[in-house]
Amino acid sequence: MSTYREENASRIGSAKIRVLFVAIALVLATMHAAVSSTPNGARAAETTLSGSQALNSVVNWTTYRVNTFQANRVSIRVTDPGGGGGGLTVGLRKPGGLQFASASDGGSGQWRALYASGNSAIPYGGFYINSRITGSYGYCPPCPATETWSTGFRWDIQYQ
Amino acid sequence: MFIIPKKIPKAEPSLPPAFFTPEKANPDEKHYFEEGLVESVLADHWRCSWLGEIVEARVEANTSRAQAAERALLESANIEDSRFSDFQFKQYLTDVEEFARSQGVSAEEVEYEVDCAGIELEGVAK
Repeated sequence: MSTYREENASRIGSAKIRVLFVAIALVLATMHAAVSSTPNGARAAETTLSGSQALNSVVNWTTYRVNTFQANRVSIRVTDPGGGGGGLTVGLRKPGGLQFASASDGGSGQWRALYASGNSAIPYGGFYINSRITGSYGYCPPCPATETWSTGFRWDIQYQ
Repeated sequence: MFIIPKKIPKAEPSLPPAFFTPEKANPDEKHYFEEGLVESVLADHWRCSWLGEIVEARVEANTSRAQAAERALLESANIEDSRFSDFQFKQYLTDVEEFARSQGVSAEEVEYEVDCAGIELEGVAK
């Protein structure tokens, strides 16, 4: 049994954010020179994902996202990893089955970029989201059947 | 809920989509699939099937086959509207077209390459 909720938190477009990602763009510009051609201005969206699922499980969510930029950055900020001790991993999967990016966090409260093939440039196109919870409670009989977690999820943050 | 048209250009794949046989981190790990995911992945297969048909027909310079596939792909508009209403699939397609133009290739080619990797499409024409 698993449940999932996603709430829009805000649209981010402040100058401060743009400056931050322009700085990142400078670092990554050479890496992504082959896929340049910049569309529309910087924009970002942030939602909150939350759900509950069993320990040692992966839930593949129906929610389908499209990254509309040719290279992008997707981040999570786990605010509550649940009490199992193994943290939460959020992954992105292509419709063909390939998991191409993921990030793990035990609830540090920091934004963590999802990495794809060794870097945080998420290629554009569609993807599904999944959540993985590992770990165990140890001595707690009767242990809870499910874990409840929540994380911020930020995407469409253009840095080209 | 969206309805997937039955017609596809090639024979139905003999194996279930790889999406539903993911790698496990350990033998005891359980994988769950949210309700509606099967239909959504099937819709991906449907769209990729026609995108592949368009790309293939154009390589063969078979105009009538390509045009028939383009018409079939338009049928997916209703599917996409119901799947993507909250995050601008049309904007994505516009971006793809813009990128494709800058690269001198077709939008279908770009979308096929970006979104259909790993999707098994049978090679036998119907």
